[in-house]
Amino acid sequence: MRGSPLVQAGLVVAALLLLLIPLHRLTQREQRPPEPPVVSSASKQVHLAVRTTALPCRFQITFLGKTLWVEDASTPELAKDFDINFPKEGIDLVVDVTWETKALAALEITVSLPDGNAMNKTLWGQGTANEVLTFREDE
Amino acid sequence: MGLQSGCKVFCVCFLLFSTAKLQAQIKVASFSTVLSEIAEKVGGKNVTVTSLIKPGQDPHEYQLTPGDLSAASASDLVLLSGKGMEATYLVNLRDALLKRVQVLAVGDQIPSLTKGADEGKEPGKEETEDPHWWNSISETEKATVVVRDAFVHLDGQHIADYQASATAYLAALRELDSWVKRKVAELPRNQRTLVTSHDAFQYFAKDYGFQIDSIEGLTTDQEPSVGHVTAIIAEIKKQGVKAIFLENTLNPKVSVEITRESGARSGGSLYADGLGPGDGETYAGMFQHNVTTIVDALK
Ligand SMILES: [Zn+2]
Repeated sequence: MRGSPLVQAGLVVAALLLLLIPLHRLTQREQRPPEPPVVSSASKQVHLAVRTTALPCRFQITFLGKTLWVEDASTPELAKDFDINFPKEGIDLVVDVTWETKALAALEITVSLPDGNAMNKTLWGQGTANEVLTFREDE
Repeated sequence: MGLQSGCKVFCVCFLLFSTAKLQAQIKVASFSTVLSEIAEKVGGKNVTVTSLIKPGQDPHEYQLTPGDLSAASASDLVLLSGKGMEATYLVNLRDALLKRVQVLAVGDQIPSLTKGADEGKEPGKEETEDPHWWNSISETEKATVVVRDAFVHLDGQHIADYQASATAYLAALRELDSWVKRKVAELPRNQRTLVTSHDAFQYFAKDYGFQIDSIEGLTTDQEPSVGHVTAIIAEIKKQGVKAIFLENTLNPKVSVEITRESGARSGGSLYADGLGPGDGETYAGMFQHNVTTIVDALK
């Protein structure tokens, strides 16, 4: 005995209904619009000031893998403005500097935001220095 | 046998013994792929290293075999990852080893990150030490010093060799750290959310400014709860995380659910638990693979 045709048909219908559940879930996702990320990408005008203790000095500042500023400095203080995204988590600037002198020298970088908040970091080296500097408003 | 022949035999025996003594090597049995590399680099020709955990093997799932126990018993020094990694077999191992075999749980000599009951998925559980110290280069530097000091203690004849080799390896680690910092700097700091299968990258996160959302716990055998998976999906969407990094130890249904519901793509595979085949067969290769995969996928 394998059951009546009516019971068998019922089982087939039940199996088809069960298959519809994952199918519905798949189609449901396609209809849902993607939610926008909360992460802000608004850029701010950031003021960068560089001060070196020794001249001549050549420096390169890289931001997110791209060169932001390269300079053969002939004066100890330089400044520039850049439109860059400055999230609350802060930014990393990769700084490479070479001085002609082999004596200990320093390069100070100050990052100033439109709200007046300023952060500074200093690299030290003899002839050369390379570092990733992190600037955060809460530090 | 005359007096002269007796003298000859004595001299030959003495010479053989002296040569053997000069060439004696510290026999190391290592239960960590990373510690195997450190021991080889620092020990050089004065040390032989037997790796009982092979590259690519899951150390969380490792079970002590009679063969491995024999290899450990035949060694002078057993190196363990520590911080609870060997918890399931440590007592058996210590009981079975001869008194002369020194056991060094390297991770126990360096500072720990812990996972509290409030952060985990099992309320009421005590704080657990995170065993994945090798995912921090600065912790690996400390581990190198611990291994160097153990060799110096065991073999006073080659102190200068161990110190020179350790200095060279530490310099290579610092160079690797500089490379990692520059590579990570390519990724905006507000995009440094790392979604992984098991919670193996907290030490890495601490060093390079990442936030970790792990699906499993500190080991690879903990099934995540539905509530935790839902929360992870919501966090991926909220942060706009572009890619997630899942391992094949994760339940495939959970992997499919998370990638489908979050919209994030798979960022590739990472070496979470030490060295592995391919790029990851050296510590530097493992680290460079992980960092390149993470940064390029999240950019
Ligand atoms: Zn792990």
